[in-house]
Amino acid sequence: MSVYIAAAAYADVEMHDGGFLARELRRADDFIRYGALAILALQRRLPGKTGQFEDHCGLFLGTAHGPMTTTFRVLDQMLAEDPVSPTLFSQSLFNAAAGQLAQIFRLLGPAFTVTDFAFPFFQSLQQACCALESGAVSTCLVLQVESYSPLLVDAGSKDDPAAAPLPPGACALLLAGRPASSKSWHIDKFRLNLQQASPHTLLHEHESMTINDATYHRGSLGNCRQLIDCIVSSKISGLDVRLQAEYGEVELRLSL
Amino acid sequence: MGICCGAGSRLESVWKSLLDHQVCCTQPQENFFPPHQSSPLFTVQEDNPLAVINSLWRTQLQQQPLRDINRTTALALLAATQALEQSQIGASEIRRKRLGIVVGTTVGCTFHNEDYYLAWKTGQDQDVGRVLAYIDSNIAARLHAILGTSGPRAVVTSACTSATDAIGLAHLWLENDLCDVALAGGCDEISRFACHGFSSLKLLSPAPCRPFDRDRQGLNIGEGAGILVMESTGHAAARGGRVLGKVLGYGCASDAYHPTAPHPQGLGLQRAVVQALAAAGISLDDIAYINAHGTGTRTNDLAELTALQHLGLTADNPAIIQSSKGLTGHTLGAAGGIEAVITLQSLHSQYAPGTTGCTHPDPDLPLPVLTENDGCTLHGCRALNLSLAFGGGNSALVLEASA
Repeated sequence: MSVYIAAAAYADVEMHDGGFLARELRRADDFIRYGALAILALQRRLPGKTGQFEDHCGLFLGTAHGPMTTTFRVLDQMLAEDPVSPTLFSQSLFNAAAGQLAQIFRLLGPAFTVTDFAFPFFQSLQQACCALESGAVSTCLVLQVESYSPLLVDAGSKDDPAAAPLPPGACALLLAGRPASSKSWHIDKFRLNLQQASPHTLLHEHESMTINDATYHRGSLGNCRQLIDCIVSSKISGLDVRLQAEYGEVELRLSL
Repeated sequence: MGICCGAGSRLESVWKSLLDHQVCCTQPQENFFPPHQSSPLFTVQEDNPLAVINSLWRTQLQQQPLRDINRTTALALLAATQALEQSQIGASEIRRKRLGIVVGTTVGCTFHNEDYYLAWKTGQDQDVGRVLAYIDSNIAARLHAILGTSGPRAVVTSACTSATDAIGLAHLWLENDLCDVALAGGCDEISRFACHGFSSLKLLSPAPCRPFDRDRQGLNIGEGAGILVMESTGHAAARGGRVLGKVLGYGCASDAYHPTAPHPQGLGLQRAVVQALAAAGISLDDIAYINAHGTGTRTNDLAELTALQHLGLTADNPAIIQSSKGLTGHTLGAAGGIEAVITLQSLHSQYAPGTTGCTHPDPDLPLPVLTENDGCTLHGCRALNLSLAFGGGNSALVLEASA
């Protein structure tokens, strides 16, 4: 496998763009906003600070729940028998974020959205690796974006009152078929195995992640953020990552 | 290959409808559209798609995961079992394989249960089971459970290119040895949500749609599924299976232009077609038939044909341009799958049915299209299958019929 990680970053609810994307995001929902902020943060970490992605850069966005809050805003209008806002409807489509992110960052390659409650980030990583290895793209962004609607948070707490709400946000990696710098991580091994699982496990994202000797239980997006922290700040030359859940397992080995 | 849509619930009936231009659209239920607005719907005739699954396959399905499946998954299952039946890969054999399942959908991934949402919003106590049922409804995962199979899965939710992308992705999975066999395509059911949404965009035709016609008024929404059984050449040879066709190339590119409108020159589509043709190692001159996205909106029709013109296609090229949506409606995430099946059937029959509803082509179109009464013989075995999506997605498949 010849896939390298050129940059990594994430965005959370606290993050702001400093006005940099004010125009582009003026009508965007949170789902699009989180994705844009994660890519912006990643762009600022690109070697050479050119701030530009290659023309045919692809975008593979994974999500468990998509823009659910926007779906409900459309339902609000339908139930009130008000005219549906075309902007809201178009943003309620699961690929609206990928399309708008492609427009904002001028990504002219494939812009895919894959939806699964199990390991959505790693599912998009799998598709991105396939696209890179087939030569369909030479660079691509891998994202997970979640905005977790209040309805979902309520359902989670009713299903398990002890469960902590999952934090919304977005995680992003930039993959390339060749190293962007001497500090590029190489993906030595990546294996994703998905299983059938109970909806309770999927709703609460009960998954554990081990990176070298440390174990984390932070839900899907939280675990990805932890992984990105390790990728960005690790002082060692290898990361052995293993995620395990009722819904499957992920094995990822990275080396500098 | 398997198919169900407004034109029929099996390949034979769909093909007959295409040849006869037998439009079977229905009037929507009350409240499906906003007041004073309406548009015909292309629905699959079976209220219960599971009832028409081949009886041999029906006995092989896992019963517990079949309970409470939503209509989108039922349509996918109907098409998937038809495709498996035609491939002659039996249930026990498919369970021994690494089966990749990759399906595209638009409606099938969203939670838009109005009763539950209204109850939640007004503070009434609700059964969380509705949310859990939604979490349990991932189409690819559910199909694996029903078929009793294992292997990689993905649900592609790239709006109207979803199914074309799903087939492209399955092609990449097979190339990368992620699976032995793949079920790939798309599925979608009609929803009040989509009807209101498309109505807000003023894209719906109040009459049956007429792709490429000068008097077209927009698109109609449809439902259905189109699924292919895909395998590597080596795998097909080893089992001695009949090969209907090949995916020679796949391309996908973004317009990066507008949230809902295609680029006027179809720049993303041009890049997707170039990529697909390059992967196939052929040129546009080698294409006999183009199954266009052809929704029946002016912006789509013009962008699509302008893109093909900019790629060098002229009236002198052998490629025949046609749209199937006059008979299927726009089936959203299922469209690319349904049209891949129709494309392969057209290549096998060496015949392209005319574009239902197109009697007087729009004079502004830069290229000639096949009108309703001009169905014609194809001279070649390769075709392009095109899909465009909201968000500026564009996808192209190069398909070849096997002898």
